[in-house]
Amino acid sequence: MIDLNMIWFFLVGVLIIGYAVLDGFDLGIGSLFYVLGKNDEEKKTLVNSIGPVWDGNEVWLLTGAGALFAAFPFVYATVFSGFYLAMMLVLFALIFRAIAIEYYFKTDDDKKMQRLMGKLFFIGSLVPSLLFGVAIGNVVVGIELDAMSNYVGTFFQLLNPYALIIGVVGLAGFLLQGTTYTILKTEGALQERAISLTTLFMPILLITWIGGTAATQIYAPHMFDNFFNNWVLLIFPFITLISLVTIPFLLNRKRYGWVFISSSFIILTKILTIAIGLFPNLVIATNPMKNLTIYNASSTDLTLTVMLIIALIGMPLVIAYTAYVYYVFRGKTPAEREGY
Amino acid sequence: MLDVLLLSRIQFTFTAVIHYLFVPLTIGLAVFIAYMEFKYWRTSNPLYDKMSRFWTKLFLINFAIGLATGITMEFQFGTNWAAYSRYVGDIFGAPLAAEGVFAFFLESTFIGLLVFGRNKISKGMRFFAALMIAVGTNLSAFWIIAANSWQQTPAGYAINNAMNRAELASFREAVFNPSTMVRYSHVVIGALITAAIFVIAISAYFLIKNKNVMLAKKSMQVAIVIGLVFTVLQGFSGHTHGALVGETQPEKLAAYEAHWETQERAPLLLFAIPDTANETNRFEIGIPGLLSYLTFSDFNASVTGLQEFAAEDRPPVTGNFYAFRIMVGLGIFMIAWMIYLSFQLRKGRLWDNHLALKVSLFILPMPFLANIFGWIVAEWGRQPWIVYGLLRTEDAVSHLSVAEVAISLTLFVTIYLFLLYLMIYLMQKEVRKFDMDKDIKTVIEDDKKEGVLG
Repeated sequence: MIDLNMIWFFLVGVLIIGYAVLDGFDLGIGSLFYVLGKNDEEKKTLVNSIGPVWDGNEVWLLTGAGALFAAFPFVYATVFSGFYLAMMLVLFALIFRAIAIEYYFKTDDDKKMQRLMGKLFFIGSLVPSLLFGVAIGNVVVGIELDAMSNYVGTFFQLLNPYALIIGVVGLAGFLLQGTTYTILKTEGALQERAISLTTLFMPILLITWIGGTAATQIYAPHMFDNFFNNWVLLIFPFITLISLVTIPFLLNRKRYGWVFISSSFIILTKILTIAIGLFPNLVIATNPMKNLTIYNASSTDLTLTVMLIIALIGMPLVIAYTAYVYYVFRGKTPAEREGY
Repeated sequence: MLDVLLLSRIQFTFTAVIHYLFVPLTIGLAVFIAYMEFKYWRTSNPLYDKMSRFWTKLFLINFAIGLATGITMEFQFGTNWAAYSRYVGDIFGAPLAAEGVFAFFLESTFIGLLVFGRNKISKGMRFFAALMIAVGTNLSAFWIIAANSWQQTPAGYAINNAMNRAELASFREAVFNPSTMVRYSHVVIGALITAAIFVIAISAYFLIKNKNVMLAKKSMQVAIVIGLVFTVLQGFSGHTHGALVGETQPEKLAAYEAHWETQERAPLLLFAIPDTANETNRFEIGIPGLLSYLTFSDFNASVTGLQEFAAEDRPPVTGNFYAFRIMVGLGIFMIAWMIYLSFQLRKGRLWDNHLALKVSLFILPMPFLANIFGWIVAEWGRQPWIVYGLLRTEDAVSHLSVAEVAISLTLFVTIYLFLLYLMIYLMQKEVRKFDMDKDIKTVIEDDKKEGVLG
């Protein structure tokens, strides 16, 4: 029987996936800002390639956080307060990134300031790219909660080996998303560089993904239970694998659109795999009795129903005009900002 | 002593105050830009195109920081006010999520389209994009005010004692709680005034410097009309709001007015020195009966005093009393100034009245300060409650260490001051270097492009 709690588990997942796929390439490009962009013009092209869309992409995160607050307030409260300093780091990074992207062209006549914007763009992208995975790693492996569901560990306990491994798996996915998007949006030397980086990241992602899976077997074996109970679900990690290995072939055939889609599928199925492993839990506690689940951490059925109506009215509109804007900006990105 | 509660309150106040320096200008300026795009679409007069382009430049500088500092607000409910989030999540979360779905996507997506895609889309589409930005920012304000109003005048809920939380009983009643619409209009009118005075100030600067004169005059005309209408409206809105507070949160109004004893023919104090320890005012000048009249439309009505409430349920008086007077004083001055400017404009004397132009530039901080003081009295006047009558602020804070919050607060102050510096630096640079004639080239190219496309 499918109930409202399951639907909202799924919808919060959709928002997180939407965020990771879309903002994933923004984060990847920012993290590789100095590796991809070798001169002023290339750097401008990179900023320009995400300029019109990054802000809309980030809204997936804001809406995801809002939906988590509304649907599973106990998870929102526990995770945001429990990971306090980590959350603050993500927050400051996102602030830096927003300012850097928006002001990069505004500081074009002040190179010193523009270089600072470049640095903020890089740090503001790299830190969240790593910490998102670290946060997921902790939620998956289990954190120490008190009777009121407050996290009682320290900031440095969050940087445990397993969480760091998952952080790296996440980072690798974002980097690949960044290079494959760059291939689509650029030409010439920049595109060539993005292609060779993609070729480089593909095996790295494969190795980290296998490493992450092995580490999960050691540190968080409960994550496999749902898969053993229902073998069909293994289709998702299988798609991750297929998408990964198709990338070199698609690159060879210059099917760059498909390369980007493959990379997006990797992110999508990685998150789905984790979601399936967690279900019906949302936060694993070191004491399993204190796990936050989609039932003990949720809002009432009335709130979940109202939210579902809001989502059903709003999200199709969002997807329609987002698609339209991507359509307007299809094709290669110029280095100079038009009109501004 | 600095504890987690106090540090978290300081952090929330600081981040909210800085955030709200940017929000009203975004909301108000978006409406201005939509109007200019509309005129350009209908008249094809290149002056409107230039106006829209110029104000959009400034809009963007402002928007970027509003956006960046806005993420903080959404995160902070969870990071610093986890107990609050657990208590109200069933009600408070939905408006935040609705804000994301209905408003954030709209404004951010169409800002990308308008700014980067201006030369790729038709004039009509440009207007549509500008309109969607204005609709998005205004909707965003609506959902946030609905959520905040629920903290002031909770409605449409039931308390679940087993779960220790408030649960939704009626979404409509919770969203349209008794204060939502009154407060929403107060906020949006404030935003339009902020944008109007901003446009007037920058235009005045151009006129003083004798630069971009056509653009400045046209912009100023529009802004003076909007400014006049909405400052006057804000007078009525403020009055309605005050009366509503007297009805729904009587101790809040009493704190604004330093009104200690319940009395008939209650005076409106123009000035006083509140003495909280002795529950009286040491010195006061007031107009007898006016507070009764303003609150209940009756000079003889009885207005509840602070003494009716237990000391631990009273908001801080002195700060609220002065902050409220600053807000109202700024509001009255802005009404007067807009009336004066309108007369000068009508008589055709404004463009040569350099003193009036200089003063118009000089008063630029006023609407921003009025907005901030408005929020200070709204939130401070609700204390000691975080949700009026239901949850105390002291019971709402997260389980954190002093060190954690001290670190984050220090970083917030450092980073936000840097952002402020950056914003002011870019704004003044953009305004100083702007030369409207340089934009003509782009306009001609636009027309050519449209000619080719048919």
